[in-house]
Amino acid sequence: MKKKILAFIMAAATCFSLTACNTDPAGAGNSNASNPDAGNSNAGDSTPAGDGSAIDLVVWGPEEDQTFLTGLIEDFKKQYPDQTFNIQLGVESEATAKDTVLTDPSAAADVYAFASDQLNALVAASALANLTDLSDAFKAITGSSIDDIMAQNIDGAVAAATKDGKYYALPLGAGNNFFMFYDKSKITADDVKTWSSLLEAASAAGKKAGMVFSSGWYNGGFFLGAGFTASMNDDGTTNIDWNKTSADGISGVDVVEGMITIASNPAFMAIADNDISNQIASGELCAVVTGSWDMLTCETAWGAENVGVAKLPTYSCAGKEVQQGCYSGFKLMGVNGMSKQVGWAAVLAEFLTNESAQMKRYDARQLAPTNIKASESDAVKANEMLAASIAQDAACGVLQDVGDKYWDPTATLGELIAQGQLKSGDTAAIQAALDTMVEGVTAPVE
Amino acid sequence: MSKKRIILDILRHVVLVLLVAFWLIPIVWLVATSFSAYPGRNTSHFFPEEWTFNNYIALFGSDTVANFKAWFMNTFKIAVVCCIVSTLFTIMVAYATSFFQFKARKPMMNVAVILNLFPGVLSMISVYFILKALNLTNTHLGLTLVYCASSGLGFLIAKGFFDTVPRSLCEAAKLDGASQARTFFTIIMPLSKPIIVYTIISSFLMPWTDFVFAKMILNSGISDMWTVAIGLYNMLERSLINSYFSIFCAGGVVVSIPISILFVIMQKFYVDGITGGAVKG
Repeated sequence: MKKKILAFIMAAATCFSLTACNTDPAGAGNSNASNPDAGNSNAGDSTPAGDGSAIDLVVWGPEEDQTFLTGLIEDFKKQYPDQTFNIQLGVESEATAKDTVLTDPSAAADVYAFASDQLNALVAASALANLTDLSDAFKAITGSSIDDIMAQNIDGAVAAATKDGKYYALPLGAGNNFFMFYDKSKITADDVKTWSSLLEAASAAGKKAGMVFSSGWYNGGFFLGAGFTASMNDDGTTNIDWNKTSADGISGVDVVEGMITIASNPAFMAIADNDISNQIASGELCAVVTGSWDMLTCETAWGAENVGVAKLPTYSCAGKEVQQGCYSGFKLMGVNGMSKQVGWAAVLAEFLTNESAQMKRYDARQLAPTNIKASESDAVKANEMLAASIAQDAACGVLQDVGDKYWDPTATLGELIAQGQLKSGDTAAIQAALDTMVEGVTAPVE
Repeated sequence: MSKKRIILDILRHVVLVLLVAFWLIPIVWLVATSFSAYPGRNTSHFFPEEWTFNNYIALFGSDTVANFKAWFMNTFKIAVVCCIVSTLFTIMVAYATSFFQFKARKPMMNVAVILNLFPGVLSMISVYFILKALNLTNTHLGLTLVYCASSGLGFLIAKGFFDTVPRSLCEAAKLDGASQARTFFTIIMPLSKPIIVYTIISSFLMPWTDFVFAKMILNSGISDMWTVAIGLYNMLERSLINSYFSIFCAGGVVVSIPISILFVIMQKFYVDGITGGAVKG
């Protein structure tokens, strides 16, 4: 099949050469007008059209949000009865939005949800409209400026949606981090305060405590907790200092030693990335490091009344107990910079992320709101899982800001530790593994 | 029967049984899991703990994740059109190159074979932009075009088959006043059932199983538009897999049904064509 494409190209090329022979200039002009690329930096387009013609908008949201987004879009149409809208709702997970959008930004949705770590790449590709510059057009419709809207959200979320002092997206939810889930019928809240007491209790209960080591997202938490950093440059390369000594005076080797101590404990289960839910369901675990998305799986496996949540434990490293950190992230709603209806798209994006939308989203999928009023509501405050998520962020959450080169080398390092290939005490080998990892992460992006 | 022969026989069958077992285990697992009452992945049991038929019902439910009915119809539509067009093209090109002598026949065949050697994936991006310029992305027509286009290039195997059909048959038809079209449809086609069946099956399978081009061309995210491959892939997304994995397995089973039916129908002709004789003496 794939081999048949070349001939198709030849046929299409023939079509084009025939089109080129067309002497009618109007015909050629028409085909350009239908090209959405033209809308990119056209200031005229940013003012919403008020001439009564239907506004076509496409929204992408994750699968879990489809039902309530459908309802919100209907509400949006009712909110602006003078304008006819033709709004289509498509499916795109926040986690993969960047890949799909960057394939062809001009074919992507006008409004789409994405995870905050994708912001830099999307801005670089002009796939996100600069909302600060759209503020006037926005104010003309809604009556409030972008600054007012952003001020209704918590600081961390606003920072995640900002690049170079400009707003590029609207926050829709928080809690994109990981923390500790445990089975209350097997271990106590005191046990999950440190890794050593946790593993001891798990062993006594005849169960295991699990965590993913072979992913830079999870294992980075050990380093972040010890004061190490990782950050991304404008060209997409990553800065990382994990083979040196951190600001807290802990060396990278010490951190790896701490991880080896955990990994070599028989009560510890090193889980493969993407296999967490499966392992929870298998019933061998009594405690696991994962995120809010596995709540339901834990409730099924352990019984809803037995699921306990807590911030991550401390681990012993260089003779002291260090709080394990985590990457935290936000979910954002962005407006496509290549949209033909940037103004209305921004208004719709705001409508899908405002206080009432965030409350509805919380009801639908237990996602922590970023809207200050919504997060102070009684329902949200009473949620234990969100409390643990917020406590973890407060204890040691670092906004995820790393380039594409970060993932493979850090995953390899975690795998080496989990499989016991790095031996405790073998400082030279550990240092060499760290150096290799840092070299891989800081490599230039080709 | 000698003792040695018996031992060899037993050995041979043991090896065969082992091979069959290895080969069937994934299929048995897929079918078994599709009846599992547990929605997510659970690798601690081979067979589900509780059995249910609900996955198949949910598969055809109208929720956007399990919108199998729409995907199935989309894929079926594309596959049937593609199957007819590709088969006609392939057979006709093969007939022309096999039975006619015309100028540039050899060079054209060489060019076709060389073109066929290029991996089509290389042209993926240009195909996308050409379709976009023609406003054919996110349409089933665009996808059908990509699958059918240049199907004529796959003529080589069919041509090889036609070369074995006796020329005397064509000459006899010609003497009786048959046109080329009539010779092709009433004399050659019935004799060439095996190769036609082969072409039909392979050109039906291509759109039925393709993921790469479908994912690229149908990129609007509207699940009503998708083909089976994209829809099933979407169920494996991180946030969905825990509630849709068993339904995904059910989808995997249902997908194989049309292919199996097609094969069972076609198999009869396959055998007919091979055993049927035409020229006597």
